[in-house]
Formats: sequence, C-alpha cells, structure tokens
Amino acid sequence: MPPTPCVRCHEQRAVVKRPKNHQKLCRECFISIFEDEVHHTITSSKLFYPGERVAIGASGGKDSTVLASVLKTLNERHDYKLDLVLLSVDEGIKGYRDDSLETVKRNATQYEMPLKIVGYDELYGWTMDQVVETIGKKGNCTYCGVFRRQALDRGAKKLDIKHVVTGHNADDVAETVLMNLLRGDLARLSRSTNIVTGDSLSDVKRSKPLKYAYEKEIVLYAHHKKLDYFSTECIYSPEAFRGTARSLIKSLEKVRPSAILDIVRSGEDMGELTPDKVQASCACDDGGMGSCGSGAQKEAALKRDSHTEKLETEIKLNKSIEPTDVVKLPIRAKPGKQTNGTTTGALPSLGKCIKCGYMSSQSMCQACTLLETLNKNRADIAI
Amino acid sequence: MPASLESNPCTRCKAEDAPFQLRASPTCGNCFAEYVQTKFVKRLAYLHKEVRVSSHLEPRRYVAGLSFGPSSSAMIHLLDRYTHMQGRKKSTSAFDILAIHVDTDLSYPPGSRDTPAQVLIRNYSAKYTHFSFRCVHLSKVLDVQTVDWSALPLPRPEGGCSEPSERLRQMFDKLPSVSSRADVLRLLIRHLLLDIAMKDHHYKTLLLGHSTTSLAALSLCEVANGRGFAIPWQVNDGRFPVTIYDPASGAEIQRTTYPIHYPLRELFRGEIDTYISVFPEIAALNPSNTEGATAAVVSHKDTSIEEVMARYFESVETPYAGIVANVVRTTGKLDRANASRPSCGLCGVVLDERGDSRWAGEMGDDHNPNGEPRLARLCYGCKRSING
Ligand SMILES: [Zn+2]
Ligand SMILES: [Zn+2]
Ligand SMILES: [Zn+2]
Repeated sequence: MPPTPCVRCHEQRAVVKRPKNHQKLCRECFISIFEDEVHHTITSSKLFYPGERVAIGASGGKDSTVLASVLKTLNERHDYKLDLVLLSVDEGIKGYRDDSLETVKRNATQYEMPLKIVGYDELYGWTMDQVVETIGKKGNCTYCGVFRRQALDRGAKKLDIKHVVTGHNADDVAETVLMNLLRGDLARLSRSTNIVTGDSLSDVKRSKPLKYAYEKEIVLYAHHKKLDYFSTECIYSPEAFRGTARSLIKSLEKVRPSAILDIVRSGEDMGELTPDKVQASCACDDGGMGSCGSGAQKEAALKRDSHTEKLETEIKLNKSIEPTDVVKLPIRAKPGKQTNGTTTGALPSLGKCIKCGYMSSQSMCQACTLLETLNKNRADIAI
Repeated sequence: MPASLESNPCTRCKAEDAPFQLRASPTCGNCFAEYVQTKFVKRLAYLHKEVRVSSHLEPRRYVAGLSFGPSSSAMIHLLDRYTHMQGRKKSTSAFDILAIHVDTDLSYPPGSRDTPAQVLIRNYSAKYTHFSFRCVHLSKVLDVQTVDWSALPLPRPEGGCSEPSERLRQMFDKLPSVSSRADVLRLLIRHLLLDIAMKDHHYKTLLLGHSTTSLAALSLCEVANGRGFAIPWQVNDGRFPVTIYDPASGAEIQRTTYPIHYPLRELFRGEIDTYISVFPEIAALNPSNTEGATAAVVSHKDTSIEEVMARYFESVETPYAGIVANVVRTTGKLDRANASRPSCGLCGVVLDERGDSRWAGEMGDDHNPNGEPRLARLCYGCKRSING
C-alpha cells in the first residue's frame, strides 16, 4: 500500500490521524495546525496584551508542558511580547512531586523561562502529606483541589503577576460541562466554559489557551515535538462521579470525534442562556474546572435520596450559607444581555476572605475554612 | 421489578402481596399504579390549566406520539385509565385523543397495508376504543412546511427521483454517521407529529411520552450534538417555536408556536417498566416488542450518540437517581433564546447571531471550501449532523 499523503501539503507522508476530525496529516502540518488553532483561540478571545507578564501553571505534565512550548513558539512567531514565567506548586507529597518538579526544572532550561516553585508549606503551613496524616485519606482531594487552585494565584501574587494560564484542555472543559449538568449546578455551568475566569474584581486573571485542544492531540503534539514531560495524576482519587463523566466523554468521542468540541460549544451556548441571577462569579472558583472540591458532599446527597424535591433542598442547603460580613459588590451584567434592574434579592455577593483577603463569596474563603479545621485538628492532637 | 421471595407487606396499604419496589420499599401492584397515575395526573392537570381556552366544559383534545416503546405505550394506558376515572365524574371534560405512530420503515411502498406498524396500530385501536389511532408513514414528512428542505441534502423531485420514500432514503444515505441519521430521524418524526397536530385545529397540544430518564438523555444528547441553544426548548413543557417555510424557495413565511408536553416527565424509566409489569395487557399489545422499525434508516451496527446517552442514563438511574432528575431540572431552568432571531431550518431553534465560523473553537469551515450558502440556515448542531 502506498503511503497516504498529507491532506494539507499533499507532499509529505501523513503520519497523524487527527483525533479531532480524522484528517490525515504529516508531522509538520499537524504541528503547525495545532499551533495555528491555539493562536486563533488566543487572538479571537483577546487573551493577552503586549508586554503582559504571564505565569504558566506548570506541573511537568503533558498539558502544561505543551502549553509552555506552544506559548513560547507563538510568542516568538507572532511577537506577542509576553514575559513568560513558569509557576509550579509543590504540594509536599513525598515521592510524587520530585520527578515532576525535576521535569519542570528541565523545561525552564529548555524554554529559557524563569521558574518559581511555591510550596504548600510556605503558603498554608501544611504539606499535603501532613494533611493526610491529620485527616486521613478520605476527603483530602477536596483539600488538594482547593489548595491547588489558590496556590497558583497566591504564587503569582508573590511574583507580582496578574495573569496565570493553565493547561486545561477541551476534554477537561467538556467533562466539567457534563459534571455541572449532572450535579445540577447552573451557576458553575455558566462559568465552566469561559476561557477567562476570575474577573476585573480579582487580583489574578486565569485563562486556558488550550480550551479547544483535544487531550489526544496534546499527547500527539508532545510526542511529535519530543517534549520532555512527566505523566502525573493526582494520587488521591477524585470523586467516582467525575469518573463516570470522563468515561461518558470517551465513549462519545469514539462514536463521533467532534463530540468533545461540540460539548464545549453547547456549554458556551448554555452559558449564554443562564439566567442572570445565577451568574455572580467568585474568583476562587473557576466553574468547577478540574476541582475535586465540593463535589463530594453533593455526590453523597445524590446517592442518598432519589426524591426530586428533597434533593433540590439538600443541594441548596450546601450552597446558600449566607455570608455575614462581606462587602457587597455590584454584580456585573453579562455583556450582550439586557438587565432589567431586577437583579436584587438574595444574590451571592463577592467579598474578600476575612483571613487572607482572597476573593470569596463567603466571609472566609474555602482554603482558610479548610485550614481552620486542620489547625483545630492539629491543636487537638497536640493536647 | 421481579417478585421478591420474602413476603413483606405493602408499605402503603399493608396488603400481603407486594412484589414491586417503590423507592426501595415493597409495594403492591395497586399502590404502584396509583403512584404512577398520581404523577401523571399532576402533569395533565398542569397542562389542562395551561392550554384551556374557555371555562366551558369541552373535551381535552390532544395528539399523542406513540412509538410502541414502553413509555409511550404506558402513556396511552394511563390516558385510558384516567378517561375511565373521569367518566365517573360528570364535572370534568372528557378526553379526545389522537395517537399517532410514525412508521419509519422506508422499505414498504407507500400505501402498503399490513406492515408491522399497521398491525400494531390496529391492536391498539381495538383495545382503546375511545381513542383514535393513526399510522403515518415517515415519507409524509416531505409535505411538512416546518422544515427548510432547501437546507437539507434531499434530492430534488425533478432529478429523476420523485418517490418520497426513495428521496428520503437517499437523503439519509448522504448523512455522515449513524449519530447523524438517528438525530435527523428524531427531528423529522417530531416535525411530522407537530404538523399533524397543528393542521387539525381540533387538537390543542402534542403529548410525548418521555420519562425523566429519557428527557435527561435527550438533554445530554443535545449537548453532545452541539445544540446547546435547543435544550431549554426540548426539555420543558410549553410552546415550541415553529417556522413555516415556502417549499419552493425556502423563504420564511410565518412563525408560530405550538404546545408540547411530557406528562411522564416525573417518572423514571424503571418506574415505567414496573408499571408495565403491573399491567401485562400493555406488553401484550406488542408481543414482539418492536419499537418502531427504525432499522431501515438507522443501522444498529454502529452506536449512535443517542444510544450512548440512553445507556448511560439507564446505568446511572439506579445508583444516582438524583442526577437524572438534576439534568432535567438544570437544563429546564435555562432561558429560552430570543425567538425573534432567525431560526434553524431543521431543529427550529434560533441561530447564533455571531455566526459559527467566527466561533473561537473553530478556525473556520474547512468542510466546505466553496462555502455553500445554504449552510447558514442551519445551527451549529444541525450542520454537524448534516455535514459531519
Ligand atoms: Zn503536510
Ligand atoms: Zn399497597
Ligand atoms: Zn438546528
């Protein structure tokens, strides 16, 4: 059988069948199309401004390694004039981070980018190992998720950087869309597909330039560019429920490769249809993106009782703990949507955590609340 | 649910024989049927309040979709039982039901009698003598003006193929995947049912037999089809937007709405199955258990997105019943997009005003380098179904 030619350049031999649309491409065309698409995402959503300092959340895993490599390439090719920095979080899990941090260190040299590693111990006074020691393995994914989410922001603040990019890909976004539908979380559903999370109110802007990139294409890109990455998975297993959404996405992708992108598209459209009253955003929350937090209690609630009305109350109870001493801030209307002035009432309001000053819809942010519990535990043990 | 060996009495009425499970409690057949009936009647009462035009006592006239599957068969049975109950009370109006089965088997020439679907519809007709039944061939959808046929790859009648079934079959053959065929078939069946209901001014509402489980699967199926805008229209009870097109030019003639209701929306699929086992006469109507003859257009060799979703929700209904209800409730809360915008010629939902090629997720349409203009008449999801 003669080799299949690349459908784009018609010259080279096709070596890649694009997972996204089954196009057969040569190595060079695949790499350039992948980069062009990320460039398109960046320019069409006006993600950066010239001269911006941007921290790349780097775990040493495939997504963030590809993100760093692509951003470096595009920054040079299209003259974004970005000042790129690698930012890594050391959760303090012995034996788990050592190798991936080594990878990040090598990446820093390979991409000639400065690297900053922030440790949970310096940020929170607790390493993950100590957390597990205190509270056991159950529920620690909540801690890991909440702590990790804030760690990047806090690390960026230390570097005086106002924009953090993360390696979340289209599969992650699609999974989050489905998760939020299954959990019945309309507020998060409306945010889950936003390319930028956090808003003008928060100190650090978060974005995901690989939002439309398929996980399988990220792996292929890393492979064909011979990138140096480390396979990391959170060793603390996420809620079982997220697993069912993940496997659902994989079966849909098998049936129709475009399904992942189509789910992202639907998620964006549904975000526009979300009633204004649930759109209040909170900087500590990126629409349930890759967070294992807060799902655990809900999963329990979902299992406990199938009774519809009852279930709704249970979930509401989890969410509507009224903040007592937060600063009330106006809720921004979504652009392009009309506000009819009736957006008063019991809106979740944004404020700053009384302990650490981090954006929060509660008087104390999730991380500080968890820390309170932990520190109380530590005191108990000390006694 | 199979009969259990332990003889726990019914938790509701204390009857000794309680072989069924309702929310994990032993229940007798009577109490189970009453539970299902109550959930059903509640939705019917809501519907009655919504569509009633005058305070006069007049029959409630509805068109009901009948696929011969468990849910729609149970719906007809429930309607029949309710009619008998109402018949005893003179204070409320009676029911006038027209149940329609759309025969999707394109292999029979039009006008054939004694097709499997026609045999089944006669069974129903003989059992439910108060209701009217009709079997309509899918090819009739070509006369329907609520679809912008110029936006679909339908061979033109002057192109040597004038036989409606054959034209439809050729169109289905052109669709890129099993998922596309299943999706387009579902939309066409709905168009045909709506068209019949709307043309006969006698009838006020279209009833569809979706359970909570199938509405959840339908919601997520539409999510996976890229039809996010359509979801609040698809899962809620209420008026569905309809556009009438000129069959020759594809120009928009008129816009209107027509009510669609799902009276089984508060019942899980498993509960409907149990209901059917309480009343063996339901299953007896359809001994070979054929759920329409979809095989002719949608091959079951490959799996479709619709099937993946249906399986997913059937598998999570027992361990996580809450999420099944969650999906329907969440998507039901979404706003319905402004209906004054141009709508999609296939699914009928408003188009994205920004246009799809400028969408950040796609660099542009590389499927059609020649830029066929007719594609702009379809929404993102319908384009996916038609073009792949
Ligand atoms: Zn090439
Ligand atoms: Zn009983
Ligand atoms: Zn459409």
